[in-house]
Amino acid sequence: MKKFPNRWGEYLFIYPAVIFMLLLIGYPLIYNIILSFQDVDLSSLASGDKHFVGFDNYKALAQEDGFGISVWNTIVYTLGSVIFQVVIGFLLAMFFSMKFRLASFLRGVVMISWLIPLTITALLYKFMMGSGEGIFNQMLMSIGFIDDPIQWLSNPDIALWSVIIANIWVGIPFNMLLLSTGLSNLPEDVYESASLDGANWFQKLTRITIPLLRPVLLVVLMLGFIYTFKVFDLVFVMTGGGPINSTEVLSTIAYRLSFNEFEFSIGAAAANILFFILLIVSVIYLIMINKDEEA
Amino acid sequence: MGESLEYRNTKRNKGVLLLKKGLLLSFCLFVVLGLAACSGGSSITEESGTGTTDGKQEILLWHYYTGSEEYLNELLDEFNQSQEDVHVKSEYVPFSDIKKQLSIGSAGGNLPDIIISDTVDNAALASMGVLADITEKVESWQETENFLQSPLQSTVYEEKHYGMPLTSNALGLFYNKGIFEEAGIAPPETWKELKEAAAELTTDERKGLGISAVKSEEATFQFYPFLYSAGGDYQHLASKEANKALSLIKDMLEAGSMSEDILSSTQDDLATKFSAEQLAMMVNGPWMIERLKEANPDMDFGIVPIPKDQKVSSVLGGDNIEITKEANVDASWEFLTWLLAPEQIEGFTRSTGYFPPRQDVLNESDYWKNDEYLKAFIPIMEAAEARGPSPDWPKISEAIQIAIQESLTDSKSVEAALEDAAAKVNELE
Repeated sequence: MKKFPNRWGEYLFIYPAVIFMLLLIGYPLIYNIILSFQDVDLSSLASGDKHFVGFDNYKALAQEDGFGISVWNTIVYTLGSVIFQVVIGFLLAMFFSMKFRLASFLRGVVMISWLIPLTITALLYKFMMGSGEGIFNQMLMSIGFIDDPIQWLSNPDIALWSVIIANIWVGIPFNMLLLSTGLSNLPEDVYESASLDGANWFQKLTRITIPLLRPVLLVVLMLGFIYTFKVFDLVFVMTGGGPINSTEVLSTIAYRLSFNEFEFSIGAAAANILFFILLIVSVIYLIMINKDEEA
Repeated sequence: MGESLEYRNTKRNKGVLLLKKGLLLSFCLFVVLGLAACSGGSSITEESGTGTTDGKQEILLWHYYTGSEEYLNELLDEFNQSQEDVHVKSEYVPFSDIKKQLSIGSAGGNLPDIIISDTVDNAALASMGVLADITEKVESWQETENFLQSPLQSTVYEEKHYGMPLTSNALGLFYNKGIFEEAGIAPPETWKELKEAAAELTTDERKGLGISAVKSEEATFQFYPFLYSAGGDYQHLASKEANKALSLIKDMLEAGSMSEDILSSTQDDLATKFSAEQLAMMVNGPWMIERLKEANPDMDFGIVPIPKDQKVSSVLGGDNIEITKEANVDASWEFLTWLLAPEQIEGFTRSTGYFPPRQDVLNESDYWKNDEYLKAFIPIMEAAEARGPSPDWPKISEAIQIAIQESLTDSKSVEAALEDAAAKVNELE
């Protein structure tokens, strides 16, 4: 028989945290899942008649105007944002790791865009992306890059990318900060010996820096994905999901269904789909991390 | 092997027991904390009325006024002291929470007696079964003919009255007097004049007209006056009247008299651009007047009714006051009739910055008819139409928003966009 260590007393110490998690994270999660299988809108909330309807809410959601495009938009938005954020953040981190004068001061300045409340950022970008007086068009036209103003937020084909541009700007500092920390923790002796072996900077980058940064990069990608995937404020303030459904994302659909139309159950179903996709991504991340640790 | 298996087991069981106790204790603690947090939530609501309530019928009123809360409470005190039967208390519930709180209160049989809601929500609340049918009282009350018809109509659901209008507002056409004088033209009165003025006043730095066509209720709100002026309504979106209204907006956009930015502009954005003199005209409401005066004191602006096609029209906004199902309807109605009497309603609507829903007050009170800007809204108020009323208003409104954006972005023709919207609305009705 396997011996169980008598360590129950020690387990007591984790209970506050476990209960906290269960109440604050587990309860709403489970409540939301149950809600998505019930038929709950304003009138049934009032009468207290909540019966289970199976997958009806998910079916209704699938038929909802703009649901399909919102899933697609969420994915495009997330991948577009994260890829550019990480690449630009990485380049900036490399730049600031060169330890020139004022490097740390400038790195702090870059952080500002991350400190501004998202709603303010959204309003600023909306203003800057105005078709006539907006600074984006003014600048592009003055250097002769474009002849006619771009309809940043009014053209359904462009609007999503305009919001992505704003989000890239918001996310760069966060990526840069994490990657900077990662870079500063890399062992210098590896680079020294690589230099002695005659490696050029590109070889150092691809053979040393990026492989050694892998765990940090994974964290950055993961956090970036989660933060971006549940975007709400930027889209809501900049376009309200429009023009038509061109910038509608899962979170704005969930919000509209729950709080505009009071279809709480269908809104919960939309939120659950968002959660489910994030869950899959998290599991993939955990598997990759575990592999790294085993290796 | 010092300890026997049995001993170890009892020790473990004890441990499990203790552990369970610990779990239970921490659980209780959190439940208590949770309850405290919940009751903390309700403690932000403020109760008014310091007087005793001995023997009086207690009435609880939920409202979401922040700016005019003090004035409302003064009114309540005045009412409570004026008679011996009813005592009204008020509780503040944030606007965004009021529907949620009502659902919860309704499920728990714990509703206030009187509530205040946005006019467009009146029908939805009635369809939820939260409100009392007060048709008889409204009809036997001698005062209703003094009310403006649209606000009164906004309280109707399935041909019955489920509330009374409390405050009203509407949209008008704001124009920059300086720009108009420079061009030597008068503010437009018809669609044709609107088109011409908007085109003429457009320069490189400025657009002739701004309306809000963003994907939210604001787009529907702003489109409504045009729709009604052409003789259309939301039940007949696939009509030539609706087509005419939407085509007008599309024409002005294509002529360059309006910026493409209207597709992402809120009414706030319009006011910002108007005060920066980047718009010669805009469609907006009376709540912007103070803001415009503050933002650009040098600018001279005027307000006229939104130019017409068949008839002068506008759209109604504002609040209704409703009695809930389980309330003491007689006592609540007594308070309502007192609050809606000319003396009280004048002071209260003034404190909110809106207009009284009563024709007699609008005409007789010095406050509105002597104010340079507010007086322009008196004829507009009289022409304002209520949206809906329909319990499915949010969905109807969304169908209209999509149609507006589809046609303005050339994704669909005006006709096709309106037909699709009409199909969606028909499905709901």
